Amino acid sequence: MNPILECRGLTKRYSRTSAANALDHLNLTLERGQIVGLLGPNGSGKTTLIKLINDLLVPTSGTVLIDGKQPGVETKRCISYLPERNCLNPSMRVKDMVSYYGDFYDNFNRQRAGQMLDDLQIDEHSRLKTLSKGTTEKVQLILVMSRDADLYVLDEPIGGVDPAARDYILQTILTNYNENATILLSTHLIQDIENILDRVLFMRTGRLVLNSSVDEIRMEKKKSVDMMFREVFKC
Amino acid sequence: MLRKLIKYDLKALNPILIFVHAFLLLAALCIRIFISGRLFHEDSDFSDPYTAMAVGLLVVLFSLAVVLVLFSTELLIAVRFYKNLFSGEGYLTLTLPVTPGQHLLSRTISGTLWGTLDMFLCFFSVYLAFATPYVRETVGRELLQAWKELLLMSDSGLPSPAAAVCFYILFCITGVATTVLTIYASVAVGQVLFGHRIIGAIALFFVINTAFSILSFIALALTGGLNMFFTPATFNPAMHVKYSLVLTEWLSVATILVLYLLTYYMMKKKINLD
Amino acid sequence: MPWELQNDRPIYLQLMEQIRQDIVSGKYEPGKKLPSVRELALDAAVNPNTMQKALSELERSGLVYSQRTSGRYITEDETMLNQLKHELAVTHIRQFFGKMKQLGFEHEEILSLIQELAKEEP
Repeated sequence: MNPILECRGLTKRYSRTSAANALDHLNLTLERGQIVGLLGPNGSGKTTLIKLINDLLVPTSGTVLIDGKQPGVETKRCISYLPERNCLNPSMRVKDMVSYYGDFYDNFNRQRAGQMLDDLQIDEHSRLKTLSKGTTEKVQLILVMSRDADLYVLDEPIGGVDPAARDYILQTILTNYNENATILLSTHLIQDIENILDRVLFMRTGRLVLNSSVDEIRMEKKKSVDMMFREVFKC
Repeated sequence: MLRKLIKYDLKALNPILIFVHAFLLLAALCIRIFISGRLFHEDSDFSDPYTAMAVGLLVVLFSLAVVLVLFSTELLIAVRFYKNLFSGEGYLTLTLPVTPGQHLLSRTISGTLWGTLDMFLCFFSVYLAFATPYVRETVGRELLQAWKELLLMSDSGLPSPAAAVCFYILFCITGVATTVLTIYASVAVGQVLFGHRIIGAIALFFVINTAFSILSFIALALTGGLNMFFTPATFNPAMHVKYSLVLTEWLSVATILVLYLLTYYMMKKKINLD
Repeated sequence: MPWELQNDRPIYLQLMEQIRQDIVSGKYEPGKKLPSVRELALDAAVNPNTMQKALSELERSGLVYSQRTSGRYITEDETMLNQLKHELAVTHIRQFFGKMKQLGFEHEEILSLIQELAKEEP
């Protein structure tokens, strides 16, 4: 079986005049069945990597393979992507959004989405623009996690939400995660998610500076990932 | 997938466009019932300055409304394309399991569909507003006659009136498609200008339009189309109109192809969402 | 309520300790079925893979055993349970002695202090 994600010499430079590569000859292989934290300060290349995986950018050089395939229609079928920005059309109703996902993604599970929306008492008839920012983010996460995908790419899923919502989001991720899937989760709030990670990737200036399992870090360095992060990225 | 994309694109465009056109048709109906229906008949005295002024004002205002509707339709198609593909919504739209080609084709179809419908409805609204029986009898008959003479009956070279009508319909649709693709290409190329995307797209729209006009003129000159004006002895208006129409048609088709490929390339290789 | 986990040791070890504790305290009774990996993972707010690892380790030690289809059960082996209880007690007492020594108490002092306090306990 192919690894779920494989990057070979993956490089992205946004323009010929820019000083450095946003992503610099990145080599990375991720196996199935783990929750992976993608950590790094702003501008370290996390979002660039995520966009390349999702075919939202074309690499300057190198390749990115998802389940052995170049980004395209096939890979989009098996990746479920939560962007950092709100990506839902605000004039649509929640139920329209649910059928939109159902229409385009074969692996979308409507029952599951409906159940989760019910749990949160979100009225499916309400338009997205009438919902609060936090609720919109939850709807977005529910839609993403209602797909039976092979790879979930979650860009800052717990970014701007309050601690209670954060717990709900982590619960949702854990509940819907199946053992054969892989979750790639970018964040700068390491402490909150440390306990759910199998593996962490540290990025700095477009390069991978650490790729290690959480147990390894704790066992060998006797440190939490959070402490390790502070040490690696000390100013 | 293509059908689903078109379905959702129309779903997004329909409500507001239906509203705008319904409003125009309603306005046309009101004009017909309350103004033109009472003014335009055999007994009207158009030499009366008040009547003449009223009619003039009415025509100007209604033309303005029609132009506004035409413009807003184009604008709405542009906004939909930009928002759906290049704003935050693009993160979802562009990660659907659909090829860039299907995205572009679906939007070309839905945009052209509404553009054509828009043109038809605008014509119809003018007809509805002003074509009272009296106008139909007088002006309408003359117009129809002139048109027939010029393009159908005379030696314009078209095989039959039916073929001529088909050609005009095709001409209209390609015209609309050219505009729609000019919009799409402007937006798709404009999005690389980070921070100036909308201004960039508007500027590009005018650049492409101007380029198209210049190109038509050059093509007309090169193929000898202009010479006809300078040889009055053999100048045949029908022949000339037909000639430039066919030339424009070919040019439109070529432009559509170029703009389509350009937009496709931008969507395939140069996407860079904010 | 997520389980309390420390930062400097592997999570699966801490999960094992917590489950051992719960078995000894009777939260999970001998011979009864253990909640599923997913339920336990959600309860602890940890990755299911980590919980799986913790349970596999416990299984290896014989404290829990799995029935092929129906899940994991707690052992009914009294000797093993008593031994575990004993081990945990020893660990706690060792820790306690360590701390008391840090405070500067001698062995005898500690013992008499314990006896004194034990009388007050109901």
